[in-house]
Amino acid sequence: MRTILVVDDSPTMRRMIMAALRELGDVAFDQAGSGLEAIERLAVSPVDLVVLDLNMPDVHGLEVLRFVRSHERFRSLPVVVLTTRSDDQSRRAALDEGATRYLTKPFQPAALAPEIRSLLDVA
Amino acid sequence: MSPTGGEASFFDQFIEDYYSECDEHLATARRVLLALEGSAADGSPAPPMHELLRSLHTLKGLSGMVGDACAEQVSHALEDAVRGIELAGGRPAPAALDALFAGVDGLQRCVAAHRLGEAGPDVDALVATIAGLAPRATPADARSASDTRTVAEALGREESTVVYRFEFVPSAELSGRGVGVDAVRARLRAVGTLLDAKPRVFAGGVVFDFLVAARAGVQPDAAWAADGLRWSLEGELARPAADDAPVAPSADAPAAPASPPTAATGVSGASVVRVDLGRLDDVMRLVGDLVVSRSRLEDALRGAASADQSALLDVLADTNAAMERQLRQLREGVMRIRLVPVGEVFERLRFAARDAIRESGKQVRLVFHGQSTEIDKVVVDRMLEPLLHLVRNAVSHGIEGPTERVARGKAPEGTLSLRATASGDRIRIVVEDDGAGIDVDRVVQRAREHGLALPEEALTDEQLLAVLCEPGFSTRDEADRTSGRGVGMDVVRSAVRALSGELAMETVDGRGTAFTIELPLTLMILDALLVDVGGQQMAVPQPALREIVQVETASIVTFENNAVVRYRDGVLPIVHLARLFGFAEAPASRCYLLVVGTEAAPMGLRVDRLIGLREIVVHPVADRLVAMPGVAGATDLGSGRVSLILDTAALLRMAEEQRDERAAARLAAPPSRHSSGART
Repeated sequence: MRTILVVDDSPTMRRMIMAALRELGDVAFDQAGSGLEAIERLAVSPVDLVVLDLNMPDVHGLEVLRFVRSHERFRSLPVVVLTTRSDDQSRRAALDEGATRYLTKPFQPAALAPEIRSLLDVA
Repeated sequence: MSPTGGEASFFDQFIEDYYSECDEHLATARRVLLALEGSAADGSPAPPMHELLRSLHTLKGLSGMVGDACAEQVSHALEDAVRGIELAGGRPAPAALDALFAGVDGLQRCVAAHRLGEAGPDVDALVATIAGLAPRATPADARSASDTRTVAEALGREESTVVYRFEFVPSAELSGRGVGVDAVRARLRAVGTLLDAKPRVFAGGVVFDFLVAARAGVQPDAAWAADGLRWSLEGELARPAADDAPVAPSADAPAAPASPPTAATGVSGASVVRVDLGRLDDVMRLVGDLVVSRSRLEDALRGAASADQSALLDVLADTNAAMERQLRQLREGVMRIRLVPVGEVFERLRFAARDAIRESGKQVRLVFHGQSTEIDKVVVDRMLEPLLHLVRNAVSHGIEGPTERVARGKAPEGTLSLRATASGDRIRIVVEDDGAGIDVDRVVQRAREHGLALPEEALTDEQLLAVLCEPGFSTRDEADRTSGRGVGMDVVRSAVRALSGELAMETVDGRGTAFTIELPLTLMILDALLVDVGGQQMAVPQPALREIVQVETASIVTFENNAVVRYRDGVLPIVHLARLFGFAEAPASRCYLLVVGTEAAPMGLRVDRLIGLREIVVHPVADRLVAMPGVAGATDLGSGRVSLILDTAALLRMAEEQRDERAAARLAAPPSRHSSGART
């Protein structure tokens, strides 16, 4: 069983993401509604992949990413940024900080699961 | 991108979540804009924009997901504009503020249209106006904008301040107990203002550092040490100097370099619980079952009383009493979860009133009383539209322009007040203006033009209200833009009645008009009087009862086809319930009359016997085949037999309509497009 941490400040968006990923089958979900909470979830329970929003209260998604990548423990953790920001500058910034994938919202529910599956298979 | 067939059904499952989140974010947007306008008016510091930005951003994202293109477009434009305004110093010009208000209003209309399955409004012009407001911020700018506050900003430069450093070490054990970083943050916000929150890796785990500024003398709770929290006094700030240097985070700053923005947001998220109403309803049903069980226990006790088992009886009686108390507490507790302060609705009304006031060019002061009065979430949501109508009506038609007011010897500024008060199981909301009052002559004239039959003598306030509430009735030739007066009042009355509420009005020429809405606090459990009607048990909600009188059946006389009895200084019209519902009519020399209705227009419900007061659980009669007029629902009294609950408001309405019809027949009124029979 793999655990996916879904980080987004909108509970509805989190539910949408989890519903789209449920077809992966053998996965469990953990959730966080803020950047700080995301870091806490990572610290207290094992996570195999993170789906990360950028615009969030308190700690910005990019800062979560920076925190994750600056610590040995999380260095190879797949982090998929899922954001409404579709501009090149944001994409480049996220990839520079170590995002594994950069996906944009609105997302196609049927297209999200295969992307995530390929990363889980490698991880 | 809008969702295609398969995706549409995928997103269908989230649509209610979407609307409910939209409501929250729209409320935030309105609150921040009003605060912004307030700060512009009194010169106080502008409120931080991050909350507004986040709400708009989330609205944009969610709207895109569910294919609400209209809302997506408007929230996108608004987000860009607000970001630009924030970068430019956070003080929009009045015209820009107007555009933002119009934008949020447009956004609301987009969401409302989506909810009704209608095409969204045309927002192209609106989006163009918003887009023209400020230079667009780049995404990089967006990230650099910090919402961290300084101590001075946070505490208002008045008192001396202490700064605490808190360390929170999260763990799976704490997390299992519900003690997580968000809960800790909520606790700290109760202590003071959160200046900073940062994660740091320590001994293979993570530590969160918080800096909290609190008023001198405020102490953290010693019990928090058991929840993974440690703290120390970081420093003390006397009255900050004029230059107000922000408190710098201390030297051992963590790995994340940029500013993790955190600030007190006014409403603490910790005190807000989002609960699915369906789940609450399940709990309420469970409480209902418990109520039924206790009724059974009571019946068993009564049966056991005949046997000689007094010791057992005592125990059972004690248990019964305890259960009764516990159930009442449980009922109240669950009911409280459903309750929200009516102030939430008032804030939305303030927003709507603002537009109406600007368009009317009048000076109107809004006064709210009793915002903390609580009311069922469902009731309050359904009351929003009717209240909006009343507020807009008061602004555009009730309150006079400044010149006219001065000419009448009034202050140029009119006052529109909204008052909420609770009494027992009812809540009362009064919308009152100090305007011109309703022009009765004009209403009468219009009513006659519409072919409504009216008595020759002066109309009472109640009759006047009935005319105003006729569907389609208007005193204006063209419904004006703001209030759409005339299409509103019937909607107001039917919305109030649908909630088992009552609408009343009082108007004084030249002095103003007050509309009073009385509503049940919640709808599910009622104290009711059980009565016997033709051998059937029926329940009458206790709040509806004004008085109970016993009369000789011989004293009931028929007058103009109405059964009436002498009552106080007048006569009381009577509804013979057994006859109405087709039950057997028991011949008796005496009967009881349950007096319901208003003091001015009471009505007596004739019943055979009183059984007693009971707490009943209301089950709505949803099946249209079973539903009948005058019945509000059904209840199980524990005997397994279903008793019907009388809908006194509907009975009053039926009686009123029958009277109207008879009156119309008598008067041989002119051809009527608005016969009372057409009312629903």
